[in-house]
Amino acid sequence: MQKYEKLEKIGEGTYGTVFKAKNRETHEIVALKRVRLDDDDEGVPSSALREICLLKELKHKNIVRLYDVLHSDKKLTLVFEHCDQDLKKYFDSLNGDIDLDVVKSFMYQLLRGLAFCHSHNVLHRDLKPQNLLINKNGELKLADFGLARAFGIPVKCYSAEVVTLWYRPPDVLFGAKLYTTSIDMWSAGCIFAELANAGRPLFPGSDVDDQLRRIFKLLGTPTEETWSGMSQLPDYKPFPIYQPNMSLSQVVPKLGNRGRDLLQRLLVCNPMGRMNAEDAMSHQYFNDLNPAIKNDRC
Amino acid sequence: MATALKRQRSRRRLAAVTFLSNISLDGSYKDTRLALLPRNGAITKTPFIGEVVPEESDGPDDCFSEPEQQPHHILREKLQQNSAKRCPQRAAARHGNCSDTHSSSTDSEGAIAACRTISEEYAFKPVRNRNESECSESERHFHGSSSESLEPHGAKSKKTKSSKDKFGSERIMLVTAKHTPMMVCSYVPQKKCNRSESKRETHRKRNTSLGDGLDPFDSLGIERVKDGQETSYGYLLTPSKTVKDVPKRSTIDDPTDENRSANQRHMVARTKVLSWQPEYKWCFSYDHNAHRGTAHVVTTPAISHQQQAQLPQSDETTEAEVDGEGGETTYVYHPELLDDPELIAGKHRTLLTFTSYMTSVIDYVKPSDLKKEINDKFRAKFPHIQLTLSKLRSIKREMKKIAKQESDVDLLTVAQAYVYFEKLILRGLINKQNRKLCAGASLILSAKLNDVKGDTLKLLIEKTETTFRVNRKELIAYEFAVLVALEFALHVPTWEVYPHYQRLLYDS
Repeated sequence: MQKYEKLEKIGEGTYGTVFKAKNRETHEIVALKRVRLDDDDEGVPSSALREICLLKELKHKNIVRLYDVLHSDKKLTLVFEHCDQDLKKYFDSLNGDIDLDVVKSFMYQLLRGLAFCHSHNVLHRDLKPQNLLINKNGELKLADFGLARAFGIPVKCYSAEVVTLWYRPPDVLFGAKLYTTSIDMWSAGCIFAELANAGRPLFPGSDVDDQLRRIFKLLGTPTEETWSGMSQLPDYKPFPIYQPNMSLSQVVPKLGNRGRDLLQRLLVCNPMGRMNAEDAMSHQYFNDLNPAIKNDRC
Repeated sequence: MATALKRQRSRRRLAAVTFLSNISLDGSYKDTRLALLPRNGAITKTPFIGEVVPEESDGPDDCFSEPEQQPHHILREKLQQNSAKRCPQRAAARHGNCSDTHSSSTDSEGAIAACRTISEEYAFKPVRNRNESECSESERHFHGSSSESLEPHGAKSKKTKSSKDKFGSERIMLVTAKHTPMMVCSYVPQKKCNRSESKRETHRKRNTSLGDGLDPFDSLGIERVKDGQETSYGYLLTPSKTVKDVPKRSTIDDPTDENRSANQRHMVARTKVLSWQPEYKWCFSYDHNAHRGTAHVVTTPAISHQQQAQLPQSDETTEAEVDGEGGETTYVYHPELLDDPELIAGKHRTLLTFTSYMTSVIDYVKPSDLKKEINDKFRAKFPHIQLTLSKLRSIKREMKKIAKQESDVDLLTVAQAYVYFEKLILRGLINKQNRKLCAGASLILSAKLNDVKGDTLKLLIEKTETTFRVNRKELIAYEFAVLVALEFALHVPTWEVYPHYQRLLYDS
């Protein structure tokens, strides 16, 4: 007798199949991630390992909850809190129109979840709409910690192959192997713009070069003056000097002045200059946020 | 007069004890102290009849031959201490359940150890006298007085008549009404009561034949559902207690110098202090503070803030505080708790404290003596740990060596693996059989969390296999077991890792 009854396949994760399932006793709906364990292989996949070990420490309203870990000789099953949809699917259902209060609420919850991760020495490193889960109550939760890692002791060997291309910051695109919370803040900025545009990605690059070109076209090509040490990055190569010819008001027309200001502080090429999650939460853009959301902690 | 009588009685008692503890379990006499004697008639002679003061008792068992009258409870205590020293686990187990002590040991070393405890224990076990009810009043008195002293509980005899399962690995002696021994038989249970103990022995046997199949979960004390069923570990998913302000234990036992940071660079353990006292001139002191604050111990995992606050002051409480059940001991991990960087010079150092400066004189000492001394110190500090400090250090060196062969595996990975491995040791889970597998698994787990992947990870696993001479299947099986044994708490606070990292950087 299994504890969970599989209902449907939700998708293929980075390391296994995800099912929607029901707890036979409590009738609670959960998401099951199945991981196959092969004897001759490398053991527990690192993504599953990261999810278990990091989500154990990260219990927060805006972070998906890991309920259980089931282990047998052949497979490992992670039992997660189930959410109705992810932000990507939510965008698809919008038909290009989004309530600006929802944008604010989601952005705030994203920052709050992120601030919690960062305060617990965890970098998410794969923020994108697919990894943000939304439930019926309008709650947003960070999910998929398969690429997350601890930071704290700086060593120059963090993986540069992190974050889905569109949400990857310029420093990592240049091959930076030492980064910090700023890596997630760039992604948050990209997601913020995407929210404001009801699901149109901000920098949908086709490869690393295209990605950097798109970024520099909007924000202007950084120089050694604005970003010292840029040219020393492992994969650095010079780009044409673009002047910021488009203002953010053209890029995110629906966002007000305050929203644009927050976006501008997040989308800074020099990682040192990027705003952190804690500060972003107290940005004046959120002054008129529904207090119910603001005070709804943990 | 009374003392003379007492002395006579005590002699009789000693004679009885000697006789009883020298009854061989298997007839070979290898398991008795008589094994040390030449195999001649002396063995068959019954020392019970005469008032023979045992001569063969020696060493730590000398308390038997002391002619002074000792109160029984002290004798008993001494015995327990002796046996506790020799094998603390057995002793601990005995407090809970006496039958645990007698595991059916197979290898010679184990057998000797086991028999020692048997004989010692037997010294205060009741003589089960089947004929007791038939004893005359006077004889009963005699018997009573002698057995009373042997068996402080005063609960004796009648059990014998009941069914077999009431015997718990003891000797049954049948005597005639005149106390002539008639028959003696031993009852040794076949079931393996003491899990870790019997495990150890079976492992050792298996290791000689290619060491496969020892269950990593059993070896690390993890219970799980058998028969391919899924085991749920949801209970381990509560966030780790962040004991952020765990009092850093003072590793220096120097009362004259409060400045710890200055002392941290001082890499030698001072045990002999030569200091200037106004009245006494030069003053020697040995190890005066060695017991101070060596381990901060929390008896319950849920440590209250008040308790935490108290910990720094409770420096005088020396070691592990074992809770009422005599079982669980929880040490709060600290990077320098086990592998104390100061524990390298042992006693062989004299520190001279002058008014303007301090200097130390390190005597020459044979490396083997030093190693022994340091290991003894370590064992005294952590009696529940089966590993010696020198072995721990050599395994850590090997872990570093594995990582060093890999350019992409940084020292942070090694430092973090040290934390995992030392935590397993602190929990008393590491033994001779699993230490390499656990060390290897710790390294692999740490690497996976530190962005080691693809070919680098493959290579790391291969290097671990060859360096520790373990096979991959076992290593991988141990990975998850180690993960569970660590309660999934691989995301460790920076302060636990950083000191290791610094030492690694400093050493390389």
